[in-house]
Amino acid sequence: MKKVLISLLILLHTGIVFGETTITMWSRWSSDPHLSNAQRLFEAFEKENPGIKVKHVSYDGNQYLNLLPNVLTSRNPPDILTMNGGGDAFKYIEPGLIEPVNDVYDAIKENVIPGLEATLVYEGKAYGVPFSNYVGNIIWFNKEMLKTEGIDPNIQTWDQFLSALEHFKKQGKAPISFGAKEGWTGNHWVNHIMHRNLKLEEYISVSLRTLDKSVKTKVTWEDPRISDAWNAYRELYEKGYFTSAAISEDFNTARDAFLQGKTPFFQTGSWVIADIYDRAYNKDHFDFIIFPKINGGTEQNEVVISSQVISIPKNSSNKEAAKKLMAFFSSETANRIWAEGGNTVPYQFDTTHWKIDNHILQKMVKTLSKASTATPFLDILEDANCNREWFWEPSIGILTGAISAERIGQGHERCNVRVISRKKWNKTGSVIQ
Amino acid sequence: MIKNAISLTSPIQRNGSTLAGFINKRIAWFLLAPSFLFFTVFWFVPTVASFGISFYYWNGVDFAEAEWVGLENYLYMLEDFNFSGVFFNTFYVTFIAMVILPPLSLILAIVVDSGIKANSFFTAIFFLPTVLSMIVVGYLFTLILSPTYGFSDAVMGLLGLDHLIQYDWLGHKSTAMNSIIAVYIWKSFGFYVLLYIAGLKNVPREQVEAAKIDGASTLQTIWHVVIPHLREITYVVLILVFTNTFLLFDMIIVMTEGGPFYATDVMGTYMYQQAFSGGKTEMGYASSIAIVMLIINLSFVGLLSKFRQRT
Repeated sequence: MKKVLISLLILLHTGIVFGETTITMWSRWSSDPHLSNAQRLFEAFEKENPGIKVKHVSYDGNQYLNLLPNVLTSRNPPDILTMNGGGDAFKYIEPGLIEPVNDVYDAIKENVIPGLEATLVYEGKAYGVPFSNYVGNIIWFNKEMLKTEGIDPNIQTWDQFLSALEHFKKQGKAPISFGAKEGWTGNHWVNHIMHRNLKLEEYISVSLRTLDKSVKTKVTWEDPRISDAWNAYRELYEKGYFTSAAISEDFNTARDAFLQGKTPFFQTGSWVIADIYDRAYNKDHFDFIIFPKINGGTEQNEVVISSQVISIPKNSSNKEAAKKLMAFFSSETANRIWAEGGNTVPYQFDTTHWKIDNHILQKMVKTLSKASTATPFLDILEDANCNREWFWEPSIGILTGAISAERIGQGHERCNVRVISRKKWNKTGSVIQ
Repeated sequence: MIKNAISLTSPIQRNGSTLAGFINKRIAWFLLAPSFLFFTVFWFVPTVASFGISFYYWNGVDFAEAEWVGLENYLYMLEDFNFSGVFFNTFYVTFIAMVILPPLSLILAIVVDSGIKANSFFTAIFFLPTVLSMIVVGYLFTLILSPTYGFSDAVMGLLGLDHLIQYDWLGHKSTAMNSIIAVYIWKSFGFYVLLYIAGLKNVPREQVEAAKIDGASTLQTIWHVVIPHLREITYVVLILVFTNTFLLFDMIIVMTEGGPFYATDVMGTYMYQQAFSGGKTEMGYASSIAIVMLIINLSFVGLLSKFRQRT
């Protein structure tokens, strides 16, 4: 009798008696506000799906990235997880470690901001849904400093931007806070200029061809418009628009100089919003514009973003329940919880009634919901080895004069061809035109 | 007679030594086991694995997907334009450290050991940077050399070097590596001073006194009496300076991350970047660099041992 009672208690506890399923989700939401927002999401999901419980396992960023190869090749991976979209996800998709989920994606894709499919569609199949993102091509400015100098903050074109920079420089003030030390910050500048110089399909195809053999390109890295992007970035440095220690200082130092009111402009993504609230001398003095338009390429309402994807490992033991959670992540309920918790989201919902306290975030979410396209950063779209070597590193080298825009283009193209030939895609004859 | 004595006692000794030897051997193996296990798991196995991986193209995900490329990773080192600079940087840093650290440490050790007042104080001052971690020292000097925070500006102002105020020491390829070397030498020399002080304690005082009585100058005494007694400690210092500098990593990562544009990258940092940094996953190439580093390091130690045996 005692044994029966104990067995019954165990069954009740595990939910087997009521047909309850527990799915395990892995994420990088290991600290607040992400962790508590995730908890809110799972509670909302469990309320909508009474038969499914979510066990959330989270790790710090780098630890998480190091664990992924092992857990995805194991026999018992989590049922569902978050990953960086694009190249980071494709390296697991390529060897068949991720489940295709066209059925889920097709049902929600009309809400996804156009352009984002590049982060999760591989050789025509969808391997996840986007969730949570950051907008990258933003120029932050100090409203008070611009007002004092009588500069209109509604900057729309590159020329208007340059003339504002020149104005500050003439006042003896370095206009842009910049720290190139880590490489990614300079890489972002060139990324955004190039995004404005090229047509969207050119921007995507020139890089994505190294990850997806079904992608064809008409431009190469030696295209003069790409060299122009490198040279425009170099000119910002040579004309003295960046702070004096731009090459040796890091992102945090540059960010703090901007938030302390030492410079009027700063380029980085929407991840800095929390810092404006936490570290700025006055959060109400800061505002942003989307990267200005440069003739010939994308428009100002086209944004560059980074996006996480929610995917299901091939060896997941609860795929159907995991798909329900995946669909939930694409819902307005989930994205509203996430945005109201302090994040931007990769879907176009009507955000009018969303209660977002942070005034900058509110504007950002609104801007994103009206963006005509949202395209990933190049380092998400391209083979990481080539991108690191020929986009990150040269973003410092071109400033020191160690390498020219033309040399970068040649090396970058050669690296792409090498990667593609190593993958033996040339045999299909479908990659390079 | 002696022969007989040995033959008489040897069976008993042999029996005794066999038993004692057996027990001693067991104890020795027991005591060595943890170190042996540690060495096998954390050095030998990874080294053999790295050697194997260096013949593959592998992105670090599923080794079943890795592609055998033979010597391609090693040959690519010759083609890799950046690697030649990195190779040069590694030997440049090591050469400068080898030229400066041992003689500087020896001179300071002799000065401290010569009976000057407050020698304990100087020993402590020299040794202090050694107990700080490379990360802390690297970060500290990043701030000191930063034109934004201006500590170096204050020093340059005091020295009347106004043209160097607001100079970006770590941002120019001409000064970045030398700045790192200067900080590295400042951080490391105290340890070698301490080694030499320990070595000086073993120099027979009577020989030094005898040299003085015979009319030898201080320099002659140091050259002909003291330094010959420091041969063994110098051998240790040379090996430590070479291996520690050749494997320099953390200070560079903190101060410049190998930049600007590979100007301060050494083989250790470059290897790390190939495998783990910024999304790069060239595991095979990184492993081949690790193997080349191992070969160079072992070769130097081997050469030095040979030289030591000859002298």
